[in-house]
Amino acid sequence: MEGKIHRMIAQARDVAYHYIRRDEEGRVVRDTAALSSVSFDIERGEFIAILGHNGSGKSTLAKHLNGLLTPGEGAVLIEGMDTRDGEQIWNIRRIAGMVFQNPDNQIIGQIVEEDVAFGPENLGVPPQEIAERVQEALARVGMTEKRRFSPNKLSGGQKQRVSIAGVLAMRPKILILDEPTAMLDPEGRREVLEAVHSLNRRERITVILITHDMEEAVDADRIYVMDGGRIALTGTPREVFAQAEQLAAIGLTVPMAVAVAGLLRQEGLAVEGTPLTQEELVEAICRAADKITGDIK
Amino acid sequence: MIKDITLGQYYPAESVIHRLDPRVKLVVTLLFIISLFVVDNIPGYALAFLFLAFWCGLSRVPLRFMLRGMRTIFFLLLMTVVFNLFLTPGTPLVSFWKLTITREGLRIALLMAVRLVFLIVGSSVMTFTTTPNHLTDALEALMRPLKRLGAPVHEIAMMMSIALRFIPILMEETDKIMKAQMARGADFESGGLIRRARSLVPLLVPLFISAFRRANDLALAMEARCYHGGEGRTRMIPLTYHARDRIAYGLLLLYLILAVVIGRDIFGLAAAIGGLPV
Amino acid sequence: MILRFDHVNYVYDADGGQPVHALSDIDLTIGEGEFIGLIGHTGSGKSTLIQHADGLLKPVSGRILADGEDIWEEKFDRKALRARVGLVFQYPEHQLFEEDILSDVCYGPMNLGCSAEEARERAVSALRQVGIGEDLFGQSPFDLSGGQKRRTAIAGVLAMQPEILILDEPTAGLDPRGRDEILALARTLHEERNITVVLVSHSMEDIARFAKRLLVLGDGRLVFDGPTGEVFSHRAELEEMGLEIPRPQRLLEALKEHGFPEIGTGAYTAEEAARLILRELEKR
Repeated sequence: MEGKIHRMIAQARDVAYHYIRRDEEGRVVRDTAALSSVSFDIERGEFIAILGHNGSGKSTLAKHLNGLLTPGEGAVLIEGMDTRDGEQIWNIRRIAGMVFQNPDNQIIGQIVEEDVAFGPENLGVPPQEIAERVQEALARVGMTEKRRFSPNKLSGGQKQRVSIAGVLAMRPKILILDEPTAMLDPEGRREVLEAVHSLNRRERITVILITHDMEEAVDADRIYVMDGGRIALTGTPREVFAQAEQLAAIGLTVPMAVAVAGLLRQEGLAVEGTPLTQEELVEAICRAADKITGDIK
Repeated sequence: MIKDITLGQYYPAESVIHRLDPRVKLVVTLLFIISLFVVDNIPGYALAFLFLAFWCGLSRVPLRFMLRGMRTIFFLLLMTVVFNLFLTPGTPLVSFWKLTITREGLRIALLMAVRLVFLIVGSSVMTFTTTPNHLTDALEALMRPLKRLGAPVHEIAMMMSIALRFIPILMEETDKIMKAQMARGADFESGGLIRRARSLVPLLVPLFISAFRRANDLALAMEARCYHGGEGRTRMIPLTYHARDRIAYGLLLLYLILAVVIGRDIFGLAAAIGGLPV
Repeated sequence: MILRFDHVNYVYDADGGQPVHALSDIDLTIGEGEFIGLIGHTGSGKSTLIQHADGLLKPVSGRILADGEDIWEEKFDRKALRARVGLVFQYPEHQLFEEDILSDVCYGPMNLGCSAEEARERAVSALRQVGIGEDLFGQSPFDLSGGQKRRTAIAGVLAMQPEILILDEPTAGLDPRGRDEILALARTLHEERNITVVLVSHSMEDIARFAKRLLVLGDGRLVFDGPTGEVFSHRAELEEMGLEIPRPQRLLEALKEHGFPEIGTGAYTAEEAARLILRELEKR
């Protein structure tokens, strides 16, 4: 048991959460279940993608992971600390850093460097160490050159990288990203995803990426698909994307390579497995084609 | 375009003034402005001019930048001069048509013009050499004594610095919403006062909603980054006084003493010499 | 309506005071009933271009002609132009302001001087086109879902009964379901109402699926203007400008390099790609 707690960095136990809207007299007008019986275990160093369409509960779930919201029922544990424990809340938020969707609405400082310093300043880190952390964090996302810039002069992708640096300066163990690329152009998307993947691979930072872009989920270790506040599907990308029909039923698609492979199979071509990327698909098609030529011979 | 209006006018350069502690710059600017209203004779203004010239020279901000700020207040300046020139009663100097320039009018007009120009140039040195963030830091530090009286000093400074960050963003947003409503046939320019005021509703409602949404997002983001007020907070670059800051305070003190002694003519020197107009 | 850009230039001063050439010598014609895609890197001048089309920005030099008339002539009615050229900005739901959906959609027609009656009729018809049911008409626009909000905002432009509809990144921030709804709407408007559509997007797949003609902007210049398939065949030039080609086409080109030298590469959907692959394999 002891060992398990150490290995699991984030856990959810039967989490339920309701958004309740009341009228002036305090009567409940609307009661929407945003999360119901959500459970999971996330291991240290994993790259998790949470997929789902808007309103599926994925952002609500993200806000539970660093105590911005606390479960109505059940519990969320970060390194074994309960998010409802008021005494641990700042520890939890330091360990589980969060990057939001809109790059403009999460930068507080008027200069890149000052913004990255905001987190450690709140933690009461001594000045000399803050400066070191800021420098280090900016280097890790490749933004050192822009450290004296005003955020208003940066591109969307650069702003998101500054936001990531702002979280990194708190030395977190988990990076939660709530649709960080939804408002970016393709180049910005690439920049941000590259930065996140490199942090996960090189530094073993646990990443929880919330997205509705299927192609972004392909490189994850595991995927959780949310629908109607529940976890509808879970598994490795290969396992999840093999279930194209179930995904379609909840209004999600599959990556292009998976879709093409499925169509080819429908027409009787023996494409093996679930190729997730273009490279894998090309390989699978070549193998299938060789088989045909082999059979003819 | 609206977004071209930029707040704060920091001029990046390497100068002693740039490196001075922002608290010093704030105090110097405030006391210099006060001194302009204490002084009321020519030697006093000559002294103020010397101090200002010294202050500007050290800042390495090109003179044309300083004077650019004057353009915007040119009309204010002109009005002040004209009104004082013609409307001050006293001993007539020149008189033509229905207008009379009095000795007192001339004196007050010149005095006001000099004061205004010095005031603008003096404070623009501060804004040219200090980032808005440093200014809010300085304000927070200088207001700290008020904290004991229960004033929310940290919160005010935080609000100011957030406002400074979001003003350009909201300006741009205003521009965008305005264009979008114009694309739907909105007309913000014609019609009477009431019609024009009403035409602003489709601009202001989305702008307020956007501002609230941003405020909400920002509050969440700040909370996620462990912000919990000023308690226990440290700063990456804490404000500390260096030798140059102490020298600056010393020079300021010297100037202030001289300004009072000369500018108010405490020892009656000017009067003794007799020739200098007061 | 035929909208023509006649050697249009637009220059503005950046913060530092240096002039920025946002548009350089743009020369193009938007004909009736076309479906045009407009792509380009962020900052390539796309927004500036479409704002010129709606008379929201004035060219520094050159002319913009609506059916042959210079829109910046003194007598020209630009308000009428803005009705005929419907411009839907990015995140159009951010412009909703009325208390209920129907009134919001009426805003455009009312500005054009329509009677309350006619404005209502137009609004109802526009809301139907975007698939907002009558049960929602009285609701506050702020209570809608993201996709519904966006469709309501688009209805606000459609109620002006434009002949040309310009959509700036209409799917930005939407989930797959919301994206499909908006793109299907653009297609219906084009096919059934014969509205000219200009689609600005970062998604090459969306552009490739819908646009028959493609404009590519780079640093304020019109680099390509031609049939979509033809433009996307300039892979190297596009990639140099930081633009990608559609994924299905990329897949087919990769296959071409891996032992299928004959395979066709003009596919923009998974279905089209699968068909071309099968056709190639049948030859063996």
